[in-house]
Amino acid sequence: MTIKRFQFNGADRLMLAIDYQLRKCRCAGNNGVIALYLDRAVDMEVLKSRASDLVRNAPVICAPLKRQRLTGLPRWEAHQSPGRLPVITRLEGEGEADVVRAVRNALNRSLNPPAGDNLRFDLLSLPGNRQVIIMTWAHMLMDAHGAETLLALLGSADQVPWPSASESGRFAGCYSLRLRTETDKTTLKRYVNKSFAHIDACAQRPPQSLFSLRRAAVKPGFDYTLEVFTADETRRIRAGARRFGLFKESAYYTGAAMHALHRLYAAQGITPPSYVAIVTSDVRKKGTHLPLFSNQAASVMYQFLPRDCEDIESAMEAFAAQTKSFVRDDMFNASLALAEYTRYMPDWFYIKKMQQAFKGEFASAVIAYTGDPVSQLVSFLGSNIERLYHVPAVLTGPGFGIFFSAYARALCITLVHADGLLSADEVLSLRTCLRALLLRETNTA
Amino acid sequence: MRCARQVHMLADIEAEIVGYLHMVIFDPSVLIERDTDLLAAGLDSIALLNLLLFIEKQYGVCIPEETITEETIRNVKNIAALVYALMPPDLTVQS
Repeated sequence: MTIKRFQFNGADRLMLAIDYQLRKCRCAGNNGVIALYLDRAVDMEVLKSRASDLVRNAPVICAPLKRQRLTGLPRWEAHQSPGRLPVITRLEGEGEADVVRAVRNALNRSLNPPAGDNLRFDLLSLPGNRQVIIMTWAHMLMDAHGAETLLALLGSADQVPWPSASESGRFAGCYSLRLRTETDKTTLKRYVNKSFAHIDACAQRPPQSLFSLRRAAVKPGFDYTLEVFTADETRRIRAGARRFGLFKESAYYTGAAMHALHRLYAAQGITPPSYVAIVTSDVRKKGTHLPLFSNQAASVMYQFLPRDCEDIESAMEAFAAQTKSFVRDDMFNASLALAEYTRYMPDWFYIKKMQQAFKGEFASAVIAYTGDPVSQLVSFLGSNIERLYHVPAVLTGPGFGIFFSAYARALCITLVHADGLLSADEVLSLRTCLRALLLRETNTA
Repeated sequence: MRCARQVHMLADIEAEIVGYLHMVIFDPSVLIERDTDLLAAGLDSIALLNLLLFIEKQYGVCIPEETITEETIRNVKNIAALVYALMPPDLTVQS
């Protein structure tokens, strides 16, 4: 039987290290979840048939995670005829509360990558023949963009052609290939040193996560809440971002997130030396979704002093200044080079080194803006998609993430937090604050 | 009215920007020409920053943030015109 082996790139390796850390903390692992609201339930048999086509074209989806014997390096071992398909489960529900429960369960239910259990679907039927499809995937297999593209492939096969065998093998256009072929060894070494220097600079004022302050109260698992905006409100928010210039949405959202976070700390009487936000950025070339089945995101540390976060404008300025500096210093490539360099480390060592640098911490929060979704994702197997949002697991410590996404021109903020990390009042306060900041309402209490 | 040398220089700037976008920013499957709508093709904030940095290094021109609008960066033609307009006078040819 033919076996194709797919090596992990550095970013995949980072996701695996996070998976290790989460399981060590008795969480389900590094799961990514997408919830897709449909106006009409899909035909189960058609979905199963599409999933079977998908696995036949991209066997890496159900490939077991293995380790190379001598080096211990992780890789997917894809069998030509995998013999297994993603598990598809039917659920029944009455309303939104059941959706939230089902998504939460999906986030907190482990996959089993060593057995090839990397992807699963929960189909939650609602009254009126409506349905929510909850897709859960092992984050080391693909990133959020890849997951959306996979849904587009599954649901709209006529419009989105299956990638060719070589493309579905992940390597075409992969950032690690670009780094290897377009960058000499001296530059790569300089990149790695630059990344270490950046981490050391941030470590001069290490963050203090709520997770480390409230460790005793935190239970294994994650909870999440959404703050959803209408299309009209989103128009107003985007107009608000445009006042600061072109392409300022990321800065606007991050500024709002950092100020809201600062207010949360201030309400507890905590003034940390700094806030560190891990911000992820898709590094695929523009105009392509490829490669699908690998992580193509750079994770860069942004550091904010408490005085930078006194208001949204100051936080935006601090974010914009750092972004400009990162682009000028090629920090995105530097962070990718570091990920490639460290992919030879064992999981526990990787996590330990990071924690040592920051005196037991990683960051204050993870922030991401997935942008507008993959354009082909408007219908799924003949049903219209009404809504879509992401709910990813977050590295514990911080155990807290703020994720911005937009679907059908409506913004959605997902607040993911370790179970017990935040009280219901604090979550409500965060949501209220974010809403007021983005809509520029005066009441930010 | 521009003289032939000015037109030639503007054409060079356009070609170099197209080359940069083709090599660094966009996937080879995306056709980038002087009229291509870059925003529709997927240009985003980081890509724009990288392009501005390229322009700064290549032409010694720093494009002020207030001049960056959807129109001025919509296509290579507009970007090149902006770069050309901001270039020091001794680098342009007087008609």
